Amino acid sequence: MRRPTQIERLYLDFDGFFASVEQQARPRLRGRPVGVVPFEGAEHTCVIACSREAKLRGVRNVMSIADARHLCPDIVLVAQSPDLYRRAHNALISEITAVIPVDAVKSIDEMTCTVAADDRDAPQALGNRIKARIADTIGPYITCSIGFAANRQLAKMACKAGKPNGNMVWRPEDMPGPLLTLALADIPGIGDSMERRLIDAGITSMAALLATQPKQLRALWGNVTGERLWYALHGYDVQAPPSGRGMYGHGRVLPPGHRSPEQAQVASRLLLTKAARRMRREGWNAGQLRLWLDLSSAGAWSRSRWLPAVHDDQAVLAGLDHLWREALPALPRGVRIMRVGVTLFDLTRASARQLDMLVNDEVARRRWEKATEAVDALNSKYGRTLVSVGPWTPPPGGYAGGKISYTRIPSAEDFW
Amino acid sequence: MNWKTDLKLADLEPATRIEATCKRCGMSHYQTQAALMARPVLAQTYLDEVERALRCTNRFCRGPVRIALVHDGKTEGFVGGMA
Repeated sequence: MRRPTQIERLYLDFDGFFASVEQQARPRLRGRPVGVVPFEGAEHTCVIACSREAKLRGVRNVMSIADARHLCPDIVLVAQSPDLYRRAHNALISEITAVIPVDAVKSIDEMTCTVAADDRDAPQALGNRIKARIADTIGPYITCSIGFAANRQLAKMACKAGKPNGNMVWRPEDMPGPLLTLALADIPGIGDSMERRLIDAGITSMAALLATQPKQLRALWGNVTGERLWYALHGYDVQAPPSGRGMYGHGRVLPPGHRSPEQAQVASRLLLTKAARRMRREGWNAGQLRLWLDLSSAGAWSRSRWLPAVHDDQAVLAGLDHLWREALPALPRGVRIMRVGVTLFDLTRASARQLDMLVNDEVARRRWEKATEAVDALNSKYGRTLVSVGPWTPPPGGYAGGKISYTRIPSAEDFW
Repeated sequence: MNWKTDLKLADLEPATRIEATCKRCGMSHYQTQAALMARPVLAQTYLDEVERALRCTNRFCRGPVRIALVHDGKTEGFVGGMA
């Protein structure tokens, strides 16, 4: 494995992304402590992101609203605007690409690039160019931290070490010095349970971790990730392997007045239709469908159903109706459903549908696929859900199917 | 100056999707680079000129649009927490 002798990777992470985008877009929020909450009027949930001003007052991401108010009584709570964050993300990537090509987008506010040979001697100048470009073309309220190192993992750690608004360079010849000041939990990939496992094995510090052997970490992790991490921490050119698409799904916490099984069923139809649309856009068929229900104190219910490798709305919704027919008699009387989710998985390429000799559905499938194509074309033409298979009742709170997760940045179509 | 003034339509891959969102009514629609290149007047234009040439597809609006590139293909997950 190659061990770079120069800076080769850049990792960029925006500071308090959701809150800083809100401050850039809404001048009244600038300079004030801002907390982004899941929906308007939320009181019994948490602050999903907060501004630098709020962080200086002790507020942290994923802190309960009550605790945030206690620490910072004048905090301004704003409901999340996923579509705004999505548009900001697209504009920021385009601006960064004008300075340096982006290799991979790791989440809505993180990305990584390969540093060109000409920039390797003076990476901070490259970082300054990126920051100046963002300030000039997008605005000064969205800032980012940039880390430079021999590989992505070290660049990410350098980026985090330089937060906020950092421009941190960890040159290969200076390693492992900067690492030795960090705790085990500062390494991306080491969570609470892995840290406990390392401590149980007598590895209590970064120096002790670096003194291990690659196979020792592989054994501790129980898979190749431990070995990969060892090589990454020692400056080798190693990174996460590309991961394939395994499923399409959506989940939703239902508002307090919409937690009956019937209301959850309506919400699940909409979520499944949106998941199926995404799956079709990317050219996949699903072989299985799962419905899961969070019943709060009554536990949970989930069941999967086989599908004959399909992607049209009629087929997936018929599968969902079957699952609900199983669910309704099995649910406790008077149950309240806190959260509902649907997942399409067991994916195969739509261009290579394998016919099932026990299901003679090819003619019907082709008809429904054509009908679904026509529905998608109409919705695309009018930029909203104009036609749907069955009722279309968006749940209160909006943004159903537009959730932002690590590996998924929604598109405008997800909000239709 | 921004990315739209730096980039020509012809520099994009034919399959690149361009999102156009109406500044007036908020409606979004998508076009591929290949579809836009088929219009002779756009073939040699920069993206800011493309943006000015496009209009909202809602026939009752026809407002000016804001364009964005869709970067779907670049998303990569963390594997075991590794970047």
